[in-house]
Amino acid sequence: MKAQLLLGLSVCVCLIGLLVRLYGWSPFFISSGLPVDGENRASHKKSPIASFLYWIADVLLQPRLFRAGDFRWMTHLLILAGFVGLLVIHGIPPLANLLFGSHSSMSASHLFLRDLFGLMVLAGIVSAVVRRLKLRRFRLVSSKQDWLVLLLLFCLIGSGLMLEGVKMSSYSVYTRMNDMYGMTARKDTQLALEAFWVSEYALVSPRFASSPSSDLVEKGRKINEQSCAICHASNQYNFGGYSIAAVFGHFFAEMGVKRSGAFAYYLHLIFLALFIVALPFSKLVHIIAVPVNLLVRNFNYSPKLQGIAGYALALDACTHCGVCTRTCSAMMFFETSGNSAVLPSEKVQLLKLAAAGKDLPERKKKQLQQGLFLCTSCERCSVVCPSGLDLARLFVQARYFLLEEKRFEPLLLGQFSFPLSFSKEFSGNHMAALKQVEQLFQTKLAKLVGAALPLPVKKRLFALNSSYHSCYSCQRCTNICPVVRRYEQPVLELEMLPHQLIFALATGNVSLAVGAKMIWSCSTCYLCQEHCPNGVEICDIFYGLKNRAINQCTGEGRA
Amino acid sequence: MRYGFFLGCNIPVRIDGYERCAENVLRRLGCELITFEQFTCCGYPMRNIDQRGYLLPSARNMALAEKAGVDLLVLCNCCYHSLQKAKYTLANEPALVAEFNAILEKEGLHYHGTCRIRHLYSALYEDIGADLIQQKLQVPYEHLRVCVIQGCHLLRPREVVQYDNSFMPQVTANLLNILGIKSLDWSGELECCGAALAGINDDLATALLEEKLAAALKSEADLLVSSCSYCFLQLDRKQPARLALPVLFYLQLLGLCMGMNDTELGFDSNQSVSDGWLETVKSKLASV
Repeated sequence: MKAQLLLGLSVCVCLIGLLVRLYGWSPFFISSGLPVDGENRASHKKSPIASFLYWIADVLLQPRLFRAGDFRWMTHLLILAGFVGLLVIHGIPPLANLLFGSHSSMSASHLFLRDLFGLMVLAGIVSAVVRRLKLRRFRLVSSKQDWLVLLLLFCLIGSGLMLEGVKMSSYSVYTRMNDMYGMTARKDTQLALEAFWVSEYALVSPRFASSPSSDLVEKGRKINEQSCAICHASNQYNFGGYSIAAVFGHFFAEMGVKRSGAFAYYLHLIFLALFIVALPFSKLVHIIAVPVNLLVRNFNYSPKLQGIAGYALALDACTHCGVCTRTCSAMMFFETSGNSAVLPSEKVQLLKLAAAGKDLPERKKKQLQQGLFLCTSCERCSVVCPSGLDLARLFVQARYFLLEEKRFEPLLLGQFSFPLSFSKEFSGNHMAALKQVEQLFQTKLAKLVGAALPLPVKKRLFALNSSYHSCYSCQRCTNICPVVRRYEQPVLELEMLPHQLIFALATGNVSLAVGAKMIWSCSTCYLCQEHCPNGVEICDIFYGLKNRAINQCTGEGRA
Repeated sequence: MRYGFFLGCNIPVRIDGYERCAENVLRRLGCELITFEQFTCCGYPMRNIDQRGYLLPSARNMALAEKAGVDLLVLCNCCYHSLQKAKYTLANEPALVAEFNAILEKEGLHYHGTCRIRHLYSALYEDIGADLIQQKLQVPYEHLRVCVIQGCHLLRPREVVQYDNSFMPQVTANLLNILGIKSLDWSGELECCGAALAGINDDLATALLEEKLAAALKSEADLLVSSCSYCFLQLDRKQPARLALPVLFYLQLLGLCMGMNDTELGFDSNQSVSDGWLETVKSKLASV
């Protein structure tokens, strides 16, 4: 009764949780506008039946995961297959009866399969733990949740096996069974049967302190065959529980049969309830989100999304497996910037919170925003994602989602923006974001216009590259610059010309050089540097100035 | 010839036809191309932002190649430049090498600086050689007018890229010569396609691009030849449709002379090339 109440309650919580999730996913399905195909990828049109079959194969056999690595695939398939198996034969009794006939729970195949599936899950968990530990040095990040989910699964299966062991060794369970189904009341027959169960089925009986004699066991075996074996297969088929009973049986008996029985039972029940409750609220929700997401993808349904909330379904399908991070082209920028949000798997974790409407703390927002811009748009994450998420598209859209809050992002000025110059979808947002950075530079950086003249000669040196010392102002750099020649009044447009920038450095006015618009108009063609008669590394110096300008302005938050 | 095949980020996702083309043509020329799944970005997009972040990825990519004992064959000028720049810088900065190696050793890698970086053109001209290419040709072109855009980051600075004469480059012209093409003398050859400013200062990037396109048209070119994924994307994808100035890779021209078909040569990735135009070019192949 208590058990049913507990399970009933947890199922209710689970259903409510799923409804909340479904509500979160709804913007995707009711998005306005025409569907758009992946911009560069040709969408392969399949018939609905083919799409459906592909979907079934995708979900059951997980070819995407196989491509990510056979070890990884095996790990997940062990857990998935074991779990589905347990659900079918153990979790839904009517289904089990259909498969194994009535008395199904005591048939040999049922007992064997139950433990086989359980051990498959356990093996999968061990392999997952090994993987997470081994790949730590390859930047695979494991969160508390990842470990907790694995622990929960382990406890659920482990407590089930323990419950089997306790029941098998329990004398009270045995006598009750004997009372209910036993065919003989004769004392010597009873004793022989018990001897057989002690010797072969790991029963712990107070009547047998030491192992029973083989004669008695043989006698018991015959009785067992006549009266028990028709319905009750050998406990040894239940090899997991049997091993536990064989090793810990006496310990359980000492603990008190009743107590340890109830303990194991409630433990298993509580873990089951926890699992059901955790399903919609943890990454376990991927069990539902991945098939839905793949279904959508297989049918080429890709609506024009308004805002990040439309990605809630896709984000929930993320299992934080880290395959994207292992293949990420930008992974080294994580090492130099120390920002974990560079790694796609970690970006997704922050985006999950954002898509659910949570207001991230300022520090996290900054981290996420910078992570979103330190992306080379190589789209490998979309290709490898085992859950079939179009991460690349999500990341591009998310860049502008955060900038809508009138944020500055100087990292826009990296060549990471090059692929974005092809995207017509976001060109307006991109231009607006660039304008904001320009404003930021106006206020944060020194400008020649308005500076007190004549410029003072300072001792401040630009340490990054000292080749500017050899400049003798021949202006070759300015004369050959393809950018300078574009303008009728270049000084007005560029604020300082290349030779003037070098001169500013030579006179110690480094901050003026850092603030000049010229450095952001440099096409980095290296003509100036190649032609400089005195070997001033002009273009490289400009790169150094750009680095410094960005460095000075990355601390800025909102406009 | 055995090379680690370095494609960078742009080619596999935005010009995948070129990846196919390069594999097909180079294999026919007897190259063994080894692909590494672990390669990352060359670091170039980070260059405006942070110097260390710019150099580290190239150090890692080279360390991967060193571990496998291969030289790198690079298809993109900006990747090539970044790898050479990292090699050049690290040769003079042992402290930075130590810092990078501390990071790389976590995944069992070590940067020594022993791997050679080969641009596709150097590999074709110096490693494979004109003779071998000549042998594989079925027919050369006749009367094809070609403008070459060299690509800034391939040519300069000369001490870093170690490529060709940076003022009067010869390699591309010689490679085209093998195919019976005399490359035109035009104003855009040594100049910038605008890619480095695209997405950062689009007006200026477009102005630089249009300057090149106009100059190529003025010299009555049949087509433009690019050696870099960035130049190609600028010239091919951002070209106003009315200009109809085809942009090709050298390997595609070479492949046609070797009798390879359009799919093998990845022409599906060239937006500026129409089927009709391809037929006219094929008609300019000398009759056997």
